[in-house]
Amino acid sequence: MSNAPDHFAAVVLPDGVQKLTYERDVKVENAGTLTIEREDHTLGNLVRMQLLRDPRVTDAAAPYLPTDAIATALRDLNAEINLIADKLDAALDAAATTMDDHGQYR
Amino acid sequence: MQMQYVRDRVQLDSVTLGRHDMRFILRNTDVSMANAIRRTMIAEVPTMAIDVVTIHENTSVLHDEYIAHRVGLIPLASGAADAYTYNRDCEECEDFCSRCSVGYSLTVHNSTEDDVPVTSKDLIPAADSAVAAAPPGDPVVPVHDSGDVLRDAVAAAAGTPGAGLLTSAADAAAKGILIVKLGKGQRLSFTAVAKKGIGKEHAKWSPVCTVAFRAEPPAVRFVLPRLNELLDETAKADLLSLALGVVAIDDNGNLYYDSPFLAGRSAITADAVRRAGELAAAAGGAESEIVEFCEHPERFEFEVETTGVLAPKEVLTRAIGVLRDKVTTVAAHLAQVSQEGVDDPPLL
Repeated sequence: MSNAPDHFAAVVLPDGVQKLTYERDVKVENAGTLTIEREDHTLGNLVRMQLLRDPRVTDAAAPYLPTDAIATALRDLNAEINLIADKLDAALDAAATTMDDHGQYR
Repeated sequence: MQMQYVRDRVQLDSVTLGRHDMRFILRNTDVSMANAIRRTMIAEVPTMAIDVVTIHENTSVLHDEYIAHRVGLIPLASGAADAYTYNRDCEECEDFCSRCSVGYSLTVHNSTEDDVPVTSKDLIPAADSAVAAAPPGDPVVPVHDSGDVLRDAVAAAAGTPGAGLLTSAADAAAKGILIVKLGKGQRLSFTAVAKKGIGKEHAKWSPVCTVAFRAEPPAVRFVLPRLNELLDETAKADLLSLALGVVAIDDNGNLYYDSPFLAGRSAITADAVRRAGELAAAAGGAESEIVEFCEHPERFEFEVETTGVLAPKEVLTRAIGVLRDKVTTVAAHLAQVSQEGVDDPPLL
């Protein structure tokens, strides 16, 4: 009917497109460009902030490959999310007070 | 490698649950995690919503597209959404089947003299459809009462707290969600198909009305004791004019934080900071003495309100699951890419 893209085009990886590509920097050994397809700054900013927490990333002299840095960041994020999930389970068990419908509007 | 950069002191507590609302506090983490959780709840938790509407007859005042759009926005109970596959991925069918979609039909003819409202109540699961495929006890059916109706009911019943609320909720549920009003002799008849999707595709798949979080401590704060010491009455009044809702003046002429600021509904503007700096400088102080900045908030007070398609705790639980899947998927792809990289020629 029209040339509008499918509304799931923002979500589903098109045929032949890699979810993730990594290109090493031509000149600097410790640098590279990682491109993640069909993700937004929900994940992007999460990974960025986690990378900045790694002193080997912020130290320009450290011999540290970007792929290793990102792998570490993702692994640590996974650990944190698992922790949050555990805490949520415990917190839901402990949720004694039950709000009335739209209590905050009273 | 040990996990040395994990924020292992992360904490989630103070959960308060309502029927459509939830509040909780996330601690000892940073804005990126709080925001990722917020964004995932809004846009990436799968739910069911009507996506295809085939109009058979429409003599109402609204045109077909308008009605299709309104029907798409009706919230459908989505507890079973995870049991469905995405229609675009479904291998069982060319078109629609019980694994990937739920069918509905609606036929209303106004043979009365009055206007007849057509609502979500008139949406009937199609006989041959997939409602049977939904897990028992959790069918994908319209959620008839919306939060807004409840909120209005609360305001209306303000005189008698609590009273009338449940009846209003029941009333709202009994009335259903209005699609269109039919005049005398008008007809509306269509079939509709609900599919699984996420809020990123279209807002109708978003399970929440709002998710908001407030970072504590706020990014900018006044040092009130110092301000009170420095400023005279006129200067305080001057500052107050630029910081309404942030500060107020008490009976002793001292500035204190006003409730909207303490509740996180107002913030200190750049203008107010500048004015406070000028006033402090004029009184012999310095801007650096009277303003505090917080670069790394560590407490995030969340408020979630759902559309009714999922229980709020379910939205949060699923959002955390989605976020975890996202991270593990990317990590798996990265491992693959790094593995391939080993064979690349070394850098010169």
